[in-house]
Amino acid sequence: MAQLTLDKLEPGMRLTADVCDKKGRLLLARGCELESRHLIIFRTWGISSVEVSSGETQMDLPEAGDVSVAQIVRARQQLLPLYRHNKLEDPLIAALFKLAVTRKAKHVR
Amino acid sequence: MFVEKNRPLSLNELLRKTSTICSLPLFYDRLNEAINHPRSSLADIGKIISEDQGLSTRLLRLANSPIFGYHARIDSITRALTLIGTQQLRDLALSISIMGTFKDIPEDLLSMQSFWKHSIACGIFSRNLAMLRREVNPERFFLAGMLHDLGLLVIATVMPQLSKTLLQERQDQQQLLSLVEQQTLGYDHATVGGALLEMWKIPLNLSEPVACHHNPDAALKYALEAAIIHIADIFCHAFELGAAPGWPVPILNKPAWQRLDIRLAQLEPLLDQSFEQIDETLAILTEAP
Repeated sequence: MAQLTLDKLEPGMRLTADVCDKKGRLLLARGCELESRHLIIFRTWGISSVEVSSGETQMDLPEAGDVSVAQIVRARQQLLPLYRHNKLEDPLIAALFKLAVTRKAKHVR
Repeated sequence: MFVEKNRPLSLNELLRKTSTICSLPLFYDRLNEAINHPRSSLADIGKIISEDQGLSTRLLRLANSPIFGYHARIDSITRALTLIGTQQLRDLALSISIMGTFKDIPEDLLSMQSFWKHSIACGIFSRNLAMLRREVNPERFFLAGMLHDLGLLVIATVMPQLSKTLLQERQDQQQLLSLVEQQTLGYDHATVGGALLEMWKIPLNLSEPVACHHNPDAALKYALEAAIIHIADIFCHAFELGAAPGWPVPILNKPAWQRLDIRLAQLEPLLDQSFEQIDETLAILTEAP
């Protein structure tokens, strides 16, 4: 599952969350497979990013390909102690941890 | 030192001692009075703020930063008051000036640089969470976030030796600071911060969220505010923006997160936006004007 900006979307990806415009009107429901005309519709209605399934099951892999696996592993190791008082199974904590690892991996060497 | 170590001050003693060391920035009372007075004009309010050169320069720089996103340049306090609002500007002014109140804390006890970065980060996260929920006056959330760890500064100023022991103990046990404080003092920095704000006659919508930021269930009147500060504080620690390096993420209060009614998909854009604003605000508030 990943939040992708419009320019990274490709036909064939599957939505994992509803796409609504600014006023909350439903444009495309979750589970739909993206077609190229959908991308035009998103652009027309000012949608900047949507949530799609990335096809990978490994949760720690960031979407950007510019970090190495070693960097991610190191970022994980350094961040893990900070989270010791919380349950990593909690959806919010898991989401924060994933984002923090991705962010840190880009900075650690 | 020995006496102090053996007998930590009670909350009341601590507050009494604090009031002799530091006080609420003087202009705040005057500003509040002017804002609440039915016959005062924007020019009157502007004059009070303009008396403090450093403060008004910082306010203007903040008002012109992308955080507010105004296209036209805001070049006077009066204009800032019109565009941003009097209460909002008052809250921003207090956030800025409170930073100058506690400055005699030894660097080896608590690094002010990382402390204020943590406070500003919590303020920005709170403000953005509130804006996502379309709450009125997001600046009060910024202020509450800025002040949420005020109690830490109070404890460090009044009982520096004890504070050092507490921080050391936290490190040795790899524990949460508020729990270590509870064990030794019987109260924690959140309680102290809330009580100090109350003593300064700061409204309950600020003092209660500060007092309850580790225990948002205890907030009776401003539960949403307390929940926002609690979550913002967790965001800070989750991204290594704690008050000092290596401080762990506080225990998440699940009902608080549910209360905010924010979807996980909204998280990343909110955080990305906040990170930029944090660096920017930190530069504006800490660099010499």
